[in-house]
Amino acid sequence: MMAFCGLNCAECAAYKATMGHDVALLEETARLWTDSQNKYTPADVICLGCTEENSSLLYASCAGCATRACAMRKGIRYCATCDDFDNCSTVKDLMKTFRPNVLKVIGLMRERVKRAQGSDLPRKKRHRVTSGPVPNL
Amino acid sequence: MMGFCGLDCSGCRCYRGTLTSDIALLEEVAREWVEPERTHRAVDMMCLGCAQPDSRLLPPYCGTCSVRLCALERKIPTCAACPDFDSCDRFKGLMRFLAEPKVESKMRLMRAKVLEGESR
Repeated sequence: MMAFCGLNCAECAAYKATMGHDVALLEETARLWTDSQNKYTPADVICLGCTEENSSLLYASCAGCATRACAMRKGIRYCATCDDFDNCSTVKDLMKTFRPNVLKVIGLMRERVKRAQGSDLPRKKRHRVTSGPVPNL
Repeated sequence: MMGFCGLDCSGCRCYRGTLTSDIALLEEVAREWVEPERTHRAVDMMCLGCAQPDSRLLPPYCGTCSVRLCALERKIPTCAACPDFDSCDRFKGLMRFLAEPKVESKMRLMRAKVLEGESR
């Protein structure tokens, strides 16, 4: 499940452990993420993913994420589709921590959004279902 | 994540490549997906799945799928929940095109379950 910012919650240990009912992984994640400033219990790293509305069911750091709060307030599903994306310091600050390939996917999303700007392509040009080779996706 | 028609987006390389940030996989599908009048790039293959309503974030084929647009307009979670399922030429046409008999059988089972629930 892709978060508002472009990260994939399904790749996070907290989300995987919660969804997989993996208590051992919750315990290990709490231990690994504990440092001198933050001490976590397995309950603290329970996480149902960024799009879950109830913030108490998210890992603390994600529950307080300014990008998530902004997207929810605006009713936007992905930051990459937001009109303010290019000038948004909130998401840009967060993106500094992302892997290069995650940034590339966000770039692809931006390219699509910009390409579609001003066109009403999906509704006007519907794909006709015909016989023929099926793309093997 | 299941599409409205019954196909599983999670089994598709476009969806998986996007969610796992696997640009090489998106480029691979783009290379393989050859059509007479157009060539594709990774950006064309990027996909966030059929069920999310923003068609800009789907590849050209799924982004313009008339079955998907119909289901979105009708606000139904799956075609199997549609009262017109049994007589829908659009759905039948898509199934013929996809040639995935297992998907069609599954959808018929889902439809039967929906009808069973409605008759209770």
